[in-house]
Amino acid sequence: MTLIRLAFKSLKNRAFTTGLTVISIAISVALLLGVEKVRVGARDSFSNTISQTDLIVGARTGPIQLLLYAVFHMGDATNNITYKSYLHFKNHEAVEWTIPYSLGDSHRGYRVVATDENFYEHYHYRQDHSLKLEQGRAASDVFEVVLGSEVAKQLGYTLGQEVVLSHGVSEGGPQHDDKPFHVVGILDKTATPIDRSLYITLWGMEAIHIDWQSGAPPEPGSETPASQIKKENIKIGQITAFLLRTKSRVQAVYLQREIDEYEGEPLLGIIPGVALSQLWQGISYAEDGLRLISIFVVISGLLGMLIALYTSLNERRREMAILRALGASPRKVLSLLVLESSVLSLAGLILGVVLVYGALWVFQPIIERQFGLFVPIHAPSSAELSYLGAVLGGGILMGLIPAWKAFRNTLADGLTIRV
Amino acid sequence: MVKVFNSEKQPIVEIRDLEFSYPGSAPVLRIPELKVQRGEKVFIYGPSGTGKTTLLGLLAGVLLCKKGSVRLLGEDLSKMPASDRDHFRGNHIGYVFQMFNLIPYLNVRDNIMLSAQLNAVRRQKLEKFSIRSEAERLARELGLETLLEKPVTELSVGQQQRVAVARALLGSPEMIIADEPTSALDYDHREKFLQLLFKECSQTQSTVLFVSHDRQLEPLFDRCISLQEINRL
Repeated sequence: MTLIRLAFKSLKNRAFTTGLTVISIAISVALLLGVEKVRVGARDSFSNTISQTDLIVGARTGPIQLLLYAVFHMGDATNNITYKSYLHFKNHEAVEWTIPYSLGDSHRGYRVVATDENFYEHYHYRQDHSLKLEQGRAASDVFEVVLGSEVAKQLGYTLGQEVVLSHGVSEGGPQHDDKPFHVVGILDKTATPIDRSLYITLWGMEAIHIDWQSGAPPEPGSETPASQIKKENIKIGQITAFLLRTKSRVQAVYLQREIDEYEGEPLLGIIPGVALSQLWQGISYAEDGLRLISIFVVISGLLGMLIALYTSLNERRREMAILRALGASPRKVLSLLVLESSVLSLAGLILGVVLVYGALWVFQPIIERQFGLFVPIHAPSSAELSYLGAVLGGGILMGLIPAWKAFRNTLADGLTIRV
Repeated sequence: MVKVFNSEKQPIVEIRDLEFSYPGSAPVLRIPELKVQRGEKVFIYGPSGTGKTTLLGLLAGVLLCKKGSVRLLGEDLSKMPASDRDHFRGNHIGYVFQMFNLIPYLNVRDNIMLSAQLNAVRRQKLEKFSIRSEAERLARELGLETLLEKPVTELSVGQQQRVAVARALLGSPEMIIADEPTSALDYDHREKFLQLLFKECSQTQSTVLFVSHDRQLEPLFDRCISLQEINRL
């Protein structure tokens, strides 16, 4: 007890150095923990971009490519699939629901996704979050469009706005200006790629391509006027991909094989979780780099403590000799120094954790808004706890170096140190 | 662990055939015999370079003799394990340095209390008194009662030395070793300081070993030992 009180009072006496040391450890701990939280948050946000979907089905291509265009609305589909194949699996006895996607058009750089009412009803992200309309309603008629939240915000669109889609996904493609859409709804923010697309109906997608011949627009003047197009008359020929939910999860694997071996046309079914983690693996070297940097920052924080304790040793030789005269063994002197470094490390650790949670509490909404990255505020995970344990252990180990030096000094000095 | 020292006849310090040398050097001390009786106030005189510091190190159990024996309270220090020697010193010896006696980050009271807090036998000797009340009593006796809460860095040298005496005396150790504690004081203060020290030591019947190179204070002591005379080098 006496030793602990001594350690505290000694640290308090050197409040400035102690404070700086604690702060530098705290900052490094906060960085380590922060990087870890952002890393996990990014991974979770990424793998939860889509949830409750068991399979994603498209024309046969690479799994990553299918994932990219079906989930992230990036890249291009090489082939479409027939509506007949889609209906085959939509009505399959093992299937609970499907969400069809028809892709290929855009609006001012944002992708246009043609889908149906199942999208609004069944699409989930981040486990159990479903899509909500912030304003208006789902698109149901041919020339109706619903905006992702970022699209609405960036372009400043409101309900009733007229929107002209462009053909293809690159800006400057031919415009479907003969058949404008109007906005009937705006989706709530999801912090997923959903925010960055526009949603029309499958009929809408067919309608704007009526009269088109192998990717070329009709001669000006020969287009069918929009007023004559009724959704009852539109026949949907093909879609790009669809999401699928099975009635029971165990059927997903069988169904995946059935899709891959489907005889009607070459199809590919992927399990989103698996494909997402494959994709994440490919880009995760950046997170390793980040983690490496934060580990070095922690080491430099602890080195700062080592230096602070070590440089104070010479002026403390007198103190050690007094303690020796009072009956303290060299071992006790060593323990005093180790106690001091442990107190410093622990204080830095606690302050660092407080910092990180405080920062998270303040910045979580900002991070989500700015980067579409949802960093949950959870108690430290076991990985984080083991990091914290390693920092504390490292701190105590570092403390052993000045403590050992003090131990040697004490043995050499005995009671006779001249100042 | 530590036997109670009862015999009134047995010397409190007994050195026999002591020879000490630092590793790789010629011997610095060779003392055939030195005895100090309980309650004696002994002045040990030695100009610098005569081995005073070494003798004190041996008496405090920080240095170990390879030949002969140093017995304190009947215990042979060189036969004890190192940690027992540290306990022994803390429990039975009050040590006062020449200067800089105090832990800079503790206030006066905490500095005084430290000797009893670190040593179990001293605590036991306080019996029914608390460490704090006994520390305050000693501070009063030594004229420090108004300084108890002060940081020791704000004290004069004389005040610091009195705090060191209070700390050395707390828990009534059998022996006080004072290593030129008055060298930083002027003559008047030295005498006053010694009178205070003697008064407290006679209350607790502590033996005083006072080491100095300055013979002016010699007449105040029971006995004077010249280190040059007993050291047969």
